[in-house]
Amino acid sequence: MREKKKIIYLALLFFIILLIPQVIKDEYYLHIFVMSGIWIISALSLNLILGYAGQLNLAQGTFFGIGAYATGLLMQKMGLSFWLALPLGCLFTAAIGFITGLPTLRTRGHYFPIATMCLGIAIYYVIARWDDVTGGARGLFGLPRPDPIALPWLGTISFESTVSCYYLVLFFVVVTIVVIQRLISSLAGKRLIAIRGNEDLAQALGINTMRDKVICFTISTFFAGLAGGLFASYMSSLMAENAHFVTSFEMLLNVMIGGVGTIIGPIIGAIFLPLLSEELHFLGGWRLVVYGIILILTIRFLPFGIVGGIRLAMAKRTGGKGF
Amino acid sequence: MGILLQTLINGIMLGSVYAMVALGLTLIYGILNVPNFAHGTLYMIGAYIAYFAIVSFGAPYWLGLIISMILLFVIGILLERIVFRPFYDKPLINSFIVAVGLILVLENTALSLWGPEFRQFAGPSDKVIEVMGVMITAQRLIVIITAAVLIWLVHLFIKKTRLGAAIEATSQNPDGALLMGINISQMRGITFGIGTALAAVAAALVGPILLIYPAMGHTVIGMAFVIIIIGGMGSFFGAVLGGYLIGILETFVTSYITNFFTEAIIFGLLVLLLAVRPTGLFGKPH
Repeated sequence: MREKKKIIYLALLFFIILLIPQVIKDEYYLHIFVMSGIWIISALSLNLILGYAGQLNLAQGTFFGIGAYATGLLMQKMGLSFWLALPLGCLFTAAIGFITGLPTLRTRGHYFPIATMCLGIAIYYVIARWDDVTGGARGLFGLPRPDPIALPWLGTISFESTVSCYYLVLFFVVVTIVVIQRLISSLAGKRLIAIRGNEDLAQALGINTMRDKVICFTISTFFAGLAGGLFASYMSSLMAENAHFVTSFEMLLNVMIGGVGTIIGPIIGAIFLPLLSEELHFLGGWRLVVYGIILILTIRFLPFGIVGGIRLAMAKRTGGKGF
Repeated sequence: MGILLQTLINGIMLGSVYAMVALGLTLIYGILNVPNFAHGTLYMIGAYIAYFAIVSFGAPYWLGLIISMILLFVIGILLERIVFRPFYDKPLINSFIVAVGLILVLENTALSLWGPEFRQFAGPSDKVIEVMGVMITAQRLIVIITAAVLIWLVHLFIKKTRLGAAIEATSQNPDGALLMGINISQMRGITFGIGTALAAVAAALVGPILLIYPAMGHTVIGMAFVIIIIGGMGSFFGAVLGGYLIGILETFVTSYITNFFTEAIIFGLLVLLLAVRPTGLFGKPH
């Protein structure tokens, strides 16, 4: 019965989300929603490795940048269509994720965030200085939007308008949620949570922790690359800063403030923070200062973010323990 | 020969900076068990304080350096007290993220207050000394000598004073230190202050040579982590030796191989090192 109710609620929610561009005609707010969609994908990708496998990957923003640059360059230099460049860009990102995950995931505890931070800085410098390929500090400009697709009966769908990009990004958000949801509710997901709890214990139980961590890392970089590829085509320009660890911080903010280790948490964070950004626009550069303070206070008082806070409040009302 | 020697001097100069920053980082790590990702950002704040003391308030160079050192000592103590202390009994990952949050706060404060433009201030002397066909600016000599003296003083402080011994005891075994009547939270605060003060001195020393801007700490903190991983996290001599080694290595790579991918090469080497030895060169296996 409960499951059925849940499905009805979800369907209703999805219907509302589908209708948003028909109700809100303001281009500017639609743009924010498209960006939120891209942030949702990237936040979910970070949450997979951080929230489930318990590994703080500080290079996730760099993988976002790799996906963005790979997709952008495949379109611009090789003349590939977006529909081919995007999957190739994601695969390329995942390949880099796999190759770099093998050495970095051998480390534990303090060493993993440090190793990934160094990895992120190294890759950032390659992107920022490899002028011949990435355009260096100038960045990449004039990246195309996805090619129109012709559908039988429905006619051609073009992706020039913000509304069409909204639906495009929404499609990939749904794909990401479904894949990650399936993954974490599978046995492999349970193994990841065991690793998060206590890696040595998980290993003693016969879990090949290294293999599971590498697979999780590779999948998580694949989705970071997906978010990057969508970003490249939607924004039509890229700067080396997009691959900087500042991007990793933004993802971390979305995940932590929304609620780490849940599916809904990073989604809430990635919708809530860009909207908050608009409200805090008058603060200029101080906005990120406020975010930093919010991040520290969240971890201090609400370590499981907004979702954790709501669960705690509900548990108090019903007299339960929350988690 | 001239170029080789010149490169070596520049390498030692850069190594002096790295050694001081890495020493601060390793001291903080040793006692708090937290890799302070915001250490490079504090280095940047130190540079700005020296800049304003010297350029805006007309303080003499050495006074500016000391002001920056003292202020960062106080800031370090406050940060430990307010930001890091509530997380000691929480999962490790929380303090990592708090340190990342601190970067956001400090760096964007600097960016909002002082803008992104590059700044520089003058050193006490712009003389150039010629030794065996090598031109050394006085400032480079000042960096090398001051760093060496300061590192030696920190060493003496830890080994020869009661306070230093208490700090070392806390880093070796906090519970044991507590039983011996050492106030370990006070030791943590003082160590954090010393660590950030060292970063401030390093920044004030290179202010006349390198450029000051809000993101100046990024590469330095990355290098400092490379150094303390190579030298063994928490090890005093590892950090100092590693600092000089990486400084010299970086300068040689820049001069003889490529000046575009220096960081990529060094960070790449670190990732490879960790692949072979996941706990660093001198770290114990898990």
